[in-house]
Amino acid sequence: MTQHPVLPMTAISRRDLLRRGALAGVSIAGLGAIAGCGDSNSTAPASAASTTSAANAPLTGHLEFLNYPQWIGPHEVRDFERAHPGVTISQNNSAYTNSSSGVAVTVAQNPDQFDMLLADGAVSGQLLAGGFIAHFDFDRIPNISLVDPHIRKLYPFGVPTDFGKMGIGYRKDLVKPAPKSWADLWDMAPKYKGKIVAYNLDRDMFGPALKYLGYSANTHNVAQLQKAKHALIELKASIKAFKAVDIASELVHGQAVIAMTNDYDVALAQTQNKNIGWILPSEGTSGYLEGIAGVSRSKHLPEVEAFANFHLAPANYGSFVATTATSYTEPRIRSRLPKAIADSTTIGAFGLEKVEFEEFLGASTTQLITNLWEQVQAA
Amino acid sequence: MKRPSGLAVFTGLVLLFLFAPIIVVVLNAFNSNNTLDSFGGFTGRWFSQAFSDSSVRSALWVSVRVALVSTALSLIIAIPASLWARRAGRRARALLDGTTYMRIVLPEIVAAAGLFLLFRRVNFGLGIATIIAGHVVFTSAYATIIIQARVATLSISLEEAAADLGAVPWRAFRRVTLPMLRPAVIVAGLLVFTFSMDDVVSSAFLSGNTVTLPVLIFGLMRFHVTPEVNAIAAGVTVLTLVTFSLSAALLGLRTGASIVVGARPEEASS
Amino acid sequence: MASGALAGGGVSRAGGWGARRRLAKGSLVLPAFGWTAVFFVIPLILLIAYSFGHIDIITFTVQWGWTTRSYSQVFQSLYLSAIGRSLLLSSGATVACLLAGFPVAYYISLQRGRRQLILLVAIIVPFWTSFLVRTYAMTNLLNAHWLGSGKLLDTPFAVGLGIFYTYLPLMVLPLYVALERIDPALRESAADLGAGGFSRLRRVIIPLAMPGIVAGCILVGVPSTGEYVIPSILGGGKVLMYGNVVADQFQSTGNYPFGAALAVSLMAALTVVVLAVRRASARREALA
Repeated sequence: MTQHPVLPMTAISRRDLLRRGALAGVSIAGLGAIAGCGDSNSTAPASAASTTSAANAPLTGHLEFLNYPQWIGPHEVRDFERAHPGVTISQNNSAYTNSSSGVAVTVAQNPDQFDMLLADGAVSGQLLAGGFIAHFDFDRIPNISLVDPHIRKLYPFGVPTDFGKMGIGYRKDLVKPAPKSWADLWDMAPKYKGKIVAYNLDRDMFGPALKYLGYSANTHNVAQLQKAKHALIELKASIKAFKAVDIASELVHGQAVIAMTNDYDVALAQTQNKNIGWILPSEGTSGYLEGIAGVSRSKHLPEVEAFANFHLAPANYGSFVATTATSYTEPRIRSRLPKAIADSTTIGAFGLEKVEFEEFLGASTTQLITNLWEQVQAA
Repeated sequence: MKRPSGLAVFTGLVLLFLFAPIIVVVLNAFNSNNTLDSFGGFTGRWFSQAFSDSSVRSALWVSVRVALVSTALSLIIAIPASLWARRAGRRARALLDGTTYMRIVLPEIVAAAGLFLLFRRVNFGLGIATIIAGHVVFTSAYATIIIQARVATLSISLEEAAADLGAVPWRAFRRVTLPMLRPAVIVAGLLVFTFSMDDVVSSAFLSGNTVTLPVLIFGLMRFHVTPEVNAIAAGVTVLTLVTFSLSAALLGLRTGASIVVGARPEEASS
Repeated sequence: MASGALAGGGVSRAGGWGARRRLAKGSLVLPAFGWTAVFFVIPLILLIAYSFGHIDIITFTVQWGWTTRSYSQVFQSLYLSAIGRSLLLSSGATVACLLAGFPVAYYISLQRGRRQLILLVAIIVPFWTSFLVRTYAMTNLLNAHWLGSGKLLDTPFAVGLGIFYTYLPLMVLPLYVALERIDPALRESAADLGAGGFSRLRRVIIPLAMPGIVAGCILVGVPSTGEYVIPSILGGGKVLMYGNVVADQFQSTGNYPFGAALAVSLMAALTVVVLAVRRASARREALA
């Protein structure tokens, strides 16, 4: 197993994580309540003022951003380019395949190609171990102060932008009784055969399977992982399709009645159909905490930092959250969100004490999980 | 025949099966009903949406450039090789035929993976040049087969006559051989252009940041199934018909068809 | 020998001039062999080399060596289902292409003149059409109301159907060519299915068309085993074929040696099959 430096995050004990998660939950929801003031205008124009950083040199260059498809406000890139003529950004979605470590692989095998990427804890850990993560000068990213400090500690790799958790979205009118746990899902699956959609990503699916069996989502134990694989194969028989995006949208028109996917996905669907419910299963679940990190070999680190700062500016960050309906890391952004998202109990820090954020598990376990997921897909 | 035989009916059904789904795609490209469960009236909306999408336009432009260069290179490879093969020794010709055949039959993913490793190994940046390199591997094989089949029907005596009359080999080639090869070269060029415009596997592996049109469409088909995809697909189909019609117009349908059909990859390496 | 033909009658240009001409003529094939060597053969050799090596996916450094670890991973039962599925789907689709394609090719070979031309064009146009569009067309078809509104989509059947649909023209064309070469009288008498025609078909036509059958089956069966695009679009993430597993190693996991071992194994297996089939068919022709 490869040696990797002990990160603040891996040094945290599990109990610590849960405690901090609970605190984060309180602070996010609490602060949001305090700061909330009803006005949910999320289409406020980006203000150039929020992008000024300590940098004095004019920013210039081309940034290649490895990002999840459409995981950004609709006008952010355009507005950033306008505020900083001389900088262009292009987004690359090619890495998002059926393996969450695929992102790390894409960067590691071609480290000169990218300047920044969206990376969760596991991917960031993998890249850090390979020396591919850039060291941010946070003096140039003043907007980082808007991010909840507990979350900031959990994601030291760059600027944490969002987090999410796996759960069960379902049609309240078509699925009775409502599922309350992963065990319920596995039990009721045959009854709704062909009407269940799930996520096509190895760790996001293995997390719930491991929780279903009572194991940790970050386990290294091969026997446990094999059992999880078998559980997934069992579930596969009832699944309509494994999709990479727009999973919960199938619930909107009833093409599927159960969706095993992330919270933001269901939250977005809930804005289109009031009959969609969400459950964070009782056994607990896996989740991810991600953000924008710089690639160490980038020649445009100041520009990357400027963009990170820009992204965190309330107007831009608000448009990002409004577009993606993701759980957010800036507590005060709630006032800018459309009501449906601001009031959602699906996203946000609810139940965070039951969420295990994914960590980097070392090279061999990471590969193993990807291979096991392939076997599920091939079964 | 008074009434169609069973064979005729069966053939008709198969042809219907081959064409109908494509026609449905083209029709749906005009369907104003965006959930596509019924036809909601004509609209050009999806086309304008697709065409105004800058990622579609730039991908199209990348693909066209790649296809043009790939076609040119393929012909430069295929024409001399086919001429050489006529008079080459048995062993040498078997080598050419065998490698040509392999380039077509071997699953593209194997060749693409190998090329990917090669470029990574020498640290050559992935992009348009590498995509072209990948395409030419198999497009030149198709071109070789088509042109070789045609060359086989040419009589050497015409070239010999030209040589007797004092023509330098290059002159003989340009004035005698090439005109005779023209139909096959046209068919090969157009077919190879189409194949390059359509390739996904090699392009996906070897493109790095660059996005070709088929890779873009492939991504859209896997992730978002929007009506826009239908419009793009319809556009690509029109391109096909254009290149095919072009070859038919330039050569006459019969010649074109006989060249495509007459190319026999299975005879290579025998 | 080669230069003799061009030297024409009478004037014999012996010695150096002939040799130089031979060299110039050899250079005609240089682009072909050169390109093949650099961009086809060397990559295959590289695949073989990588398959015996090891990679650290954290730092992406490759260690060359002679370990068969990747190969033993391929042959573990874990991957056999992906391999088995690929073989099943591609061979099933090949058989279906043969069963559907043979009658069509046969019918076309019986036609004359304009009708035959139109039919040939009708086969060539789908062959010429973008294969992505044709695969996508299958999505539309399987989403139709009368086919279950998408119930058949995202299944192994959908993937098999997709392979069948996209590769069918590739089967018909060589079959047609082989059938064309058979004596028309023989063909037409076999078409008269009533008077013993069917047995004539079986005992005479089919053996004579065998080279075309073999060619078509190889042209369809071999590439389709390594299919990557069709299972991605029509499989809904549930039908992983061999090609997908190979692609994943390069694009997702970064485990190049394993991906290379998979690719090399596929190549070796297919080469063996193709050689065996061609040898059997050649022997059969020799005996006929």
